[in-house]
Amino acid sequence: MLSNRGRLRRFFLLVPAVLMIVSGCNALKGSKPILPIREYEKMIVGNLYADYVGTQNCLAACHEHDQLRLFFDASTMGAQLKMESGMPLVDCESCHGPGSLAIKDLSPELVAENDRLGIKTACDFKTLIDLKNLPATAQSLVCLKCHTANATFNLHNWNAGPHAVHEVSCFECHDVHASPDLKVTPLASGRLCFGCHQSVQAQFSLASHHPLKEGRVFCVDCHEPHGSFAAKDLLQDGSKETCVQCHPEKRGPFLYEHADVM
Amino acid sequence: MRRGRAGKWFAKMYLLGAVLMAAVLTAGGEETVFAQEAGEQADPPAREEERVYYEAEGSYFLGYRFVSTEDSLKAAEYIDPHSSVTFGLDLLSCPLPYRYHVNSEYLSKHDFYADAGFAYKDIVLFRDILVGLHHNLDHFNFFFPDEPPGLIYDDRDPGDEYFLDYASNQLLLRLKTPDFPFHTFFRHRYLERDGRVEQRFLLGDFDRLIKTSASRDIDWKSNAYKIGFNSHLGPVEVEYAHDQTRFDPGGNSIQYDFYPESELFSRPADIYPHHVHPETKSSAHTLKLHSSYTGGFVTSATVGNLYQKNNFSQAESTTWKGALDVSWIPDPVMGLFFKYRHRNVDMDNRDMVVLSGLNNTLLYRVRDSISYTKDVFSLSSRYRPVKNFSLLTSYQFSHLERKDIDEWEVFEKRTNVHNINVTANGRPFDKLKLKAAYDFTYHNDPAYNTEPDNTNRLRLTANYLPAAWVNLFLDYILTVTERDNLHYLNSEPFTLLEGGNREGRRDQLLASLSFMLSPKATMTASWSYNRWDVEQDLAYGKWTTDGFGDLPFFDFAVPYTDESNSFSLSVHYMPREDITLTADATYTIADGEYVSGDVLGSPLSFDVLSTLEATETILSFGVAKKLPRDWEVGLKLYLDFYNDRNDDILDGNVVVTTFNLKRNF
Repeated sequence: MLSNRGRLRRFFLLVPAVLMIVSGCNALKGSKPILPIREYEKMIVGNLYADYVGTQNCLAACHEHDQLRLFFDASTMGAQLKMESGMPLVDCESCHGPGSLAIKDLSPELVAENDRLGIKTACDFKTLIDLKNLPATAQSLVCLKCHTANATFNLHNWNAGPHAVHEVSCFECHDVHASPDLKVTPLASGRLCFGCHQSVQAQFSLASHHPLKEGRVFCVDCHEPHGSFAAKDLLQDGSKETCVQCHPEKRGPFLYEHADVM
Repeated sequence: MRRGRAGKWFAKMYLLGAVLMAAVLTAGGEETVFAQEAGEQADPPAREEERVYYEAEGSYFLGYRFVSTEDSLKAAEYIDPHSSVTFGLDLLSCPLPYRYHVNSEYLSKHDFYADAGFAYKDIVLFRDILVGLHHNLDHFNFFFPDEPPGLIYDDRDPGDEYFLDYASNQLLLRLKTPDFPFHTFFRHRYLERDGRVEQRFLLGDFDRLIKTSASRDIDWKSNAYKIGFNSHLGPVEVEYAHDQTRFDPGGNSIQYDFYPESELFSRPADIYPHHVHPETKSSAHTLKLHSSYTGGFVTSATVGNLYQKNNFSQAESTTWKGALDVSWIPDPVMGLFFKYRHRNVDMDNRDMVVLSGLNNTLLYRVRDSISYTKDVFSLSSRYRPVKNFSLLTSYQFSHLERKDIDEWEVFEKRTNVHNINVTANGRPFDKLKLKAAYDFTYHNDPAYNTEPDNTNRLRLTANYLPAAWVNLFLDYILTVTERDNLHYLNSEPFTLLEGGNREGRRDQLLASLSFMLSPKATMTASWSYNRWDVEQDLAYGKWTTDGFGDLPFFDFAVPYTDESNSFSLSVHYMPREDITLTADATYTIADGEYVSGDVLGSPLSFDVLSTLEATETILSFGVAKKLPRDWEVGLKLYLDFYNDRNDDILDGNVVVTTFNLKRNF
């Protein structure tokens, strides 16, 4: 059995080794547009014959999008519109692709005239990226292209996590246009998760259950939907470590300890 | 008992919400005008942006909740059985670059929820989630006093009601450097469990056992901190976090009772401590690294350690954890995913423990706790040859190596587990989605009797939308388990019995039908069925001669069954634009028992101890009427009837009527 010092030495050997291994991924990152990813990137780049026209030509020109614009402006991404932020710039075209073809037959005068007549002026949205029909991996790539560089929250276990493997994309849970706050609130998480996990919802009708339908315990109290160290997307690194968050009296270690309970 | 502490938390939280709201409304009064600043990136001539107003929106409500209970509080398991004023606030405000949100409701001083957040651009993020919950606990009874002879039952507080008041406050503060991908984060979770619970324990000695129940006041607190940072080192994102937790069992952490003399344990009669809730603490370090999320190859690695200590018994454990994830998409129709998980747990407890009675000190020998190393490898693939069909396969191998098992006899030193899963998703036509999954698990040398040798699991799911106004969902899971060679340890005379079988079958079905009866009315009906059958050989130790040894006794093919059916109906109807009606009804029936053979000479069958049968009927109705000037009035009725068909002890009803006056803004 290794002593604590031995383990510490092993830890300090392991860390640089892991760093070297992952640094080796630099080459992998450099070769990122390998075939399938290149295919997906083509899907999310948009029409190559179109030019970027800026957010004001999408939102300011069309009154029906006012609410979208409000939500967008109020989001973190909206704050990233400034060039000087040094962050990946985000606007409509970051996700929907370049929009010059969509508005090529429109003019401010036409929009204003239609507006005066009470007619909604539709752009040629079919020239934009067809987000809804993209493969799930490509949908997630739309978000990940920025969030891999942004260092705002860690999606460490996303790519090999159950949702990514089963082709559940970011879009399934996060609606960019629904609210300035893109996070899913704990209260909303139950409804969201049960949209797919109906059998789990049914089990909460049994007499012995955590107070989830009572709105005092939430799916995200125990599960990390972006992937995790543990099986079943548990929030912590194991079932015991997850349970003792709310049941700390069971944490231990105890004199007479369970065996391999994780 | 400080029953109002959780309420004070809520009051503090509400004060914060009020301050936030005042700030928002003040900001609104000072003209909440924010112009978009995006003109600099466009090719076409930039024109002056329209000024954008983002007004705070949300609602607040004030009401009263009448709670009426009858008999047992089982029906009101998570309901504070006291009527109370209720109020709440929902707020979303974005006077850019600031953003605020509050979602809250106060139902009683032990039942509340608040989620409040503040953000400044992407530089500052603060969030606090406060939850309070009242949990009514069962008062368990021993139904057969003086049976079998020699076992005495003593309920010291037969009239006491048991409950827990739970309060949790989670705080997150994240600070990010402007224009640079680096952030630090701080998380804190304070948790409190306060109340009165039933402590059950055995007193006496082997030939005169006293099964005792006593009330125990608890006042547990836990603090958990996490601090860390996250940044990019070239191609690699790095995150380091340090965790600390401490559990404080409060002032009633040890029970004391009189124990008679025991020749077997060389124990003189005395008052001894028992049922200790120890103070514990832990600390952890975690390092996470991963490459770009967007590559054809994505790798992530985690290294961490966790140290835990029991401050009462001085037991310690050290855990080392490691993980590696690799995903590779070699072709647009295929993805490969590899995972490795490693966990090494080193348990360290004392060899001897001193039990200090009032007048005597006993020295007990403690068996070594079991340390172990576990490695799990998994390889998964996803294949989508056509848009409407995908096939997922996975193989997982897990190797568990236990240490210090010599004194435990029954454990296997190594257990290997192999798992294969095949899942097919199909969409034969637009209105039908199908999913079929088969899962096989093989345990080589399972350590516990509840672990099967083989598990076969089949799952079939269908979602059918024949028309826009109807949706049918079906989900069926069949699990079959088999186990040979069960282990039983007979203590005196010492014998390790290896034999016997255990076969189990679990059926789970969910059927749900949703209708849109009209544009103003929807209805959902569902049925959930669960059944667990197991047949197993059981072994008992049975005293045949007073004071002389055990005799292992086998009861073969003991069946156990539990079953539940849950039916629910939900209706949502808007007869007019300003009136909303909702109604829900759920009826659940659950029963279970096992049927044992007559144990030689036993005065009663064990069957009677295992029977359970209960029904629960939940009805809820709600009506909301919009009034002029964004006001809304609402009435909700919630009824729960719990019928303990076994012995009526848990029978009970609860009726909750809530009247609310709400204003949207």
